[in-house]
Amino acid sequence: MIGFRRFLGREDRFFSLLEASAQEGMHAILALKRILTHPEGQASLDEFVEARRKDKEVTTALEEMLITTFVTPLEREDLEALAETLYKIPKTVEKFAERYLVAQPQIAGCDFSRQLALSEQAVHLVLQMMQALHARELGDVKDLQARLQAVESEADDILLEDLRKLYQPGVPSLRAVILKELFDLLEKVIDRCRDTGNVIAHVLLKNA
Amino acid sequence: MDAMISLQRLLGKDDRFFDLLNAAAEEARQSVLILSRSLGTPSNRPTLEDLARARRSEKRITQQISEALVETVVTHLEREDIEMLSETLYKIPKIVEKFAERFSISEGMVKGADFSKHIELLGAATTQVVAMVNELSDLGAGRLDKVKAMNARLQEIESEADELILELLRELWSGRHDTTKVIVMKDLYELLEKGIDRCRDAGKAVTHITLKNS
Repeated sequence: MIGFRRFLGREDRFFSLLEASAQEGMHAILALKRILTHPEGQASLDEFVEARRKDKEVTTALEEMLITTFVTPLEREDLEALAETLYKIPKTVEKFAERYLVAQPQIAGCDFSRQLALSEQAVHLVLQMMQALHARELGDVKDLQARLQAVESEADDILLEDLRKLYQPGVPSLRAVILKELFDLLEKVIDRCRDTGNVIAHVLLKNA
Repeated sequence: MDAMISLQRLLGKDDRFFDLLNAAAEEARQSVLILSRSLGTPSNRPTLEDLARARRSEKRITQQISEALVETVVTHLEREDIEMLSETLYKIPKIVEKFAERFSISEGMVKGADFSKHIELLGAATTQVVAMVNELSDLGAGRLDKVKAMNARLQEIESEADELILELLRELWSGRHDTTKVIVMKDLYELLEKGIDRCRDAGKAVTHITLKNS
């Protein structure tokens, strides 16, 4: 009985760590929102570094638990894949923020608001999917996955629109090069969310 | 007696794996040394063939590892861990060769550019990888802390490289350079950074194996 309780405790710990990792993605995207909505303010990367550092700790703890735990709640490779894709979300957000701050003088007036809003939605959906998986509310996971895919598809359309504007004659070439890189990075944030959603959906299918 | 010999051949192949993995890590380090030497002495440019040779040699080692994995029934290390490490190690000289190829076609454009800091970091990262892979032949109690410390150093190197690329971007995106030059330089710096990222992956794989066997 005690052994079984210990196993259940460990199972909960796995999900708590994954949820904590998804939460760090949310912290990172909110920090980015503060920078992009107040570009004139004194921006700092500290919040991103902190979010990624915490996420790294969570991912390392999870990796170590995977090796030292005999029975895991989900298949080992699924847990590994989840930890890895979740870690990439705040990492990519931080990369965008670093490059945005470096490039600010060259890209004055550029509007990332639509892509940012979709990124925020995507990261939030991932967090909700992790919470639903933890709570075994599997029906919710499917709905959230469908919404995540719709967000990703909308982001693809917006990227195309932004690129169309960028590829017009007359846009200074350096500005075009920098903006293309930044648009692609924000797109990658949403892609990482989609990847995480796919892993969760795959887990759900396996355990249905 | 024959059956006994076959059984011995099937088992106990770990030394061969360790030797091959060590050779693969060393080959990766050599490719960075070749690059560093050639960029340090502009008169001695034709290094593409040397780098291609290093990459081919690494490829041969990777194939030998794959073949040994098929022939061997039981290994001390898990099959997929050996494969993952071997594939990651192969990518290092491949990226170094790609950098040299791109550098050679854009030499006029990147004249005077300084890649030394990045190459120095890549050299430090490959040296660290060689040392870490070497630790695999003596797994067991007490090794984990040492390998974790080595991995932490590798991650520091990777983080230094990230900061360096950000500094370079600040300069490249300042508006003081021709845009084509910006594209070319960024491509080259990012290739070197990718080499360091692959070293980080190799370090992660060694730590993972050590943790499993500690």
